[in-house]
Amino acid sequence: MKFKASRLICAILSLTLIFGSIGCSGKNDQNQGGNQNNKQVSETNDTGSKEEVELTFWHIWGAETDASYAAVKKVIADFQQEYPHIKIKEDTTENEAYKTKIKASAAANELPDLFSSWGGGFSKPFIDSGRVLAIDDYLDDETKSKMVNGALANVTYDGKVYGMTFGLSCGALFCNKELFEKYNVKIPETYDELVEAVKTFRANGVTPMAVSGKDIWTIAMYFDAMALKAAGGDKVYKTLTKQGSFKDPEFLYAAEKFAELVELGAFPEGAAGLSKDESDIPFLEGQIPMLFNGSWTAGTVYRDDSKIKDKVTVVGFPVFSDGKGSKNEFTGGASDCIMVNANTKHKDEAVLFLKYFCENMAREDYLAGAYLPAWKVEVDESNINPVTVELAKLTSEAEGFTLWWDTLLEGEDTQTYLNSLQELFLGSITPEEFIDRLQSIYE
Amino acid sequence: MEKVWANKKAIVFFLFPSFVILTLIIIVPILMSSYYSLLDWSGFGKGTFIGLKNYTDLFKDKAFLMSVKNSIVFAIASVFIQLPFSLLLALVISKGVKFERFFVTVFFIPVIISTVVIGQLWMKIYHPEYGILNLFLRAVGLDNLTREWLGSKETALGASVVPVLWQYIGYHMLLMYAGIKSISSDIFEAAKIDGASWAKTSRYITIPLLRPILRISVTFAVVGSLKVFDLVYVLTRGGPARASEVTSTLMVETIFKSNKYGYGSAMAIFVIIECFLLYWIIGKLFKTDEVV
Amino acid sequence: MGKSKKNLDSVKRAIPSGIVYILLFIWAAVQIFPLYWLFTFSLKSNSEIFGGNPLGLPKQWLWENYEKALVTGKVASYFINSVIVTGLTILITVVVSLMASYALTRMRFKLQKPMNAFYMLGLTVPIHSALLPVFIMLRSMKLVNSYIALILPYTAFAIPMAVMIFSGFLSSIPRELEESACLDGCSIYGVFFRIIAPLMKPAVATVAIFTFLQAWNELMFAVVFISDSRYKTLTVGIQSLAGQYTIDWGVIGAGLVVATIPTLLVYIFMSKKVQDSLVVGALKG
Repeated sequence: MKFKASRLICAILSLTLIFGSIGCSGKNDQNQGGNQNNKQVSETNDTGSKEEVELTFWHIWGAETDASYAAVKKVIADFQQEYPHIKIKEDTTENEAYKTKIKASAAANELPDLFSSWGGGFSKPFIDSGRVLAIDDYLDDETKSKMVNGALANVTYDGKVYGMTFGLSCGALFCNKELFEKYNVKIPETYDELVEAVKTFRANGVTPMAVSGKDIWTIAMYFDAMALKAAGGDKVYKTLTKQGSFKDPEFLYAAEKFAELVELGAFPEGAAGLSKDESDIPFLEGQIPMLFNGSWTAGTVYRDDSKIKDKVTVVGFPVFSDGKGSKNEFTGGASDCIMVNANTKHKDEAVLFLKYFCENMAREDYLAGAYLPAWKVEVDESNINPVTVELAKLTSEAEGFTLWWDTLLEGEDTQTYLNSLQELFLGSITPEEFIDRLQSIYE
Repeated sequence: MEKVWANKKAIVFFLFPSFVILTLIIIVPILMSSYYSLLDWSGFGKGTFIGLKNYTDLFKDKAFLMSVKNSIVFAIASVFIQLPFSLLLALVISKGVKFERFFVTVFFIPVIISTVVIGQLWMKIYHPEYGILNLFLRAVGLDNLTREWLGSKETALGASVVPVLWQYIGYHMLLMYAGIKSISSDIFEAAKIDGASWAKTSRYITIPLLRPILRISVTFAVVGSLKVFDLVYVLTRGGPARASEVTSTLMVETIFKSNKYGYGSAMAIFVIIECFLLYWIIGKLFKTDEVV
Repeated sequence: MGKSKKNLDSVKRAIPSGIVYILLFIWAAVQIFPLYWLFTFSLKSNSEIFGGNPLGLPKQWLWENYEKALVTGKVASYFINSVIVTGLTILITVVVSLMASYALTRMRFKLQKPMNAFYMLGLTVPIHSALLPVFIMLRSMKLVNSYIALILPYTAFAIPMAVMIFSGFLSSIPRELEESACLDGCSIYGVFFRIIAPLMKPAVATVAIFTFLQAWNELMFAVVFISDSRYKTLTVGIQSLAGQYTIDWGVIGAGLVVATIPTLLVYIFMSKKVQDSLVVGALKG
């Protein structure tokens, strides 16, 4: 009898728990209501004595190898000096694991007060489900005027700003000058010159460009840039945000040219099975002359074990003679950002920290060579990694940045893009089939 | 005696703690996943109830069917290649070879090394340029057999199966070794007096007595293969072009990258049913032995 | 203790032992290689690991990798947490599973079969899909950010494995032993704790090893359920050594060496228990 009783208890227990947890998404609305009250409370606090406040802040810069590590430490320490009543409690997680953690925490309603995130498609579900605070009310013109143009573009959803950026990254072609000189190759500015370069290097037994086919986003770095140079920023943006069509001839053109590069042997043999760690090494060892990747590569070039320090120059992706994208259009933009939890108990303090952090991180990260600044900063550039400074010059005349496809697109569409691109890279689908698959995200 | 075995109080006492833990952490989450699997839900906000649509979609999804097939390849290879090898090792070292402790320790080493490291090691073995496998093939003049092992669609699955099997040989060996060690040595003494050889003793005495343990090993091998994730993820990420995709890698992509929590939960429920069915079948196959 | 010697004699007679030993040592070399490799890996830079020298000894012995791992990975403080979490997980798993297996294999009750199936259900759950539901459960029990947030799920996922192993071993122990004890007036609890539990030593050692491996190396639950560095475990600390775009693999290797040594020691200790099990003595006694 007792046995049955315990079974019954467990069954009841489990049922209540299930309904309790499923009801969790509904609770959210109440929480938001409750927050309005909190805001008033904290406002009165501001006028009165400064009450001790603790803010939890999750981010991804916890590894000492990370170029931003020291910058984050410094900015937070400075903030604590200036605002001793607001205690910042950090928690850091490795990049990939962080994405899982932050999604699970959003689903379980366990988000911290502030968290680092990515603009575009990654954060969209967070915003759609009401997890993120819109900060328009806190953004005056003075703050906006301190930021570079478009710094908030990727964190703006339906006309509202949901986060703040500090740095921007862009795609760039990193070239090993020494190898270019050795084989008497011109650093390519047009696609035809790129093809020439690829052919010459191949003829001399040198693999021209590094890529990892296993970490597909590194292939996407190349293709994003080629599509941009073929179609131009506006068209790419419209098409990715489902206001156009991948069937426009420019996209097929880009896919064909990409397939051509693969065909010409631009990439290493066996690249499809190599991780980025493996595929970067020949470039850093000075065996492969070109790598098209994000601006953070500047930091990698100056890593302790790099053999190509001072040998590297950067250019934008070569343009197509008949392409619509110009020399001054870049892939990338300000996407890494900080967001505030819509349910935070201390909105004012959180936004205060948000602004302070982003403004100062813009400077510190630039000094560290981690990002290009998304805020207007004045710094002594003599101590910055020279490739980063070169990148900053290169992008100072930028007409615009088009966010990486895998960042701009939402989860499922990103996977469709990446998986199809890998197949195009392997040559197991034709450029036409590739375009058909891309178009399928419209369905 | 029967009265003692049927002591209800004792039964509840013995079962209660584990029952509660399992209910809270396994059963309720399964029920929650089953509920999610009926939703079109991103993992954020509210989902829409869509009935069994996720399940009907699963069986039309080529990537999913491919991943199930690949997982079954892992299971078959595990049962028919890995386990016999583990059993052989267990039989040999449990029979009192010299350096028994040394072998028991060393044969287990791959199990205790982090999967990330094992993955990195095999990436070195398979590397198209400097990998030992291709170097070896070139050295013995078999250049035409060299491959981009992890990078080509034809070989990626096979190249992921081998490290997974190899890493867990020691795991099953230990289980079987412990099983053999628990068999009363009187039985072996008797066999020896009868003049039975090691092979005969193994065939007619050890293996039959080991059947309960073999059943466990087969179950773990099959269930583990159907849920394999870590090493495949490190080696190939399920690629290239889904050639080595297994159900778990696809499920993780679906849930955490594509934000299709409902659909991913349907995959999870499929795996649960698939594993449970196989557990039951394996139980039936080993049934004849439950004499006790 | 004379047993193993006698067995050795029988092996010698049965198979040409020279060949067996050669094969065993070749296999031992294969199996020990990853340990050597991990150790050299931990002393190299990325360019050696991924470039010219993936398998040989380091050209430059980077001992500072260990310093980096220990200091910045906070490996020392996380180590203690891992010990606490893993230790308690093993203890609880072994005790509750052994009890459950006894009831499931020896006792007789109506729902025995469905109950067996219930325990095995846990074996089938893909851990990734359980992440969110378990997280929600822990949250509703207000357990997030504590040792229990890890011990509870680790135990739950280890119980089915443990119950299965214990049941397998129990079914090979003859019932006569317990029956005679019962006639001597021993209660069912006495039978379990005084007779069965000691007999299960090899099984307990095996389960302890397997549970240790699961709990010690688990990463996903540990990342998601803990956001307070007071409770973070070793694997999380090692993972956090990886940067967003740059991973210093040698340092991670150093952290992994530190994490692997206790595993090896636990294994050596526990496998000795497996080997020393003298079931015969207990039976005769």
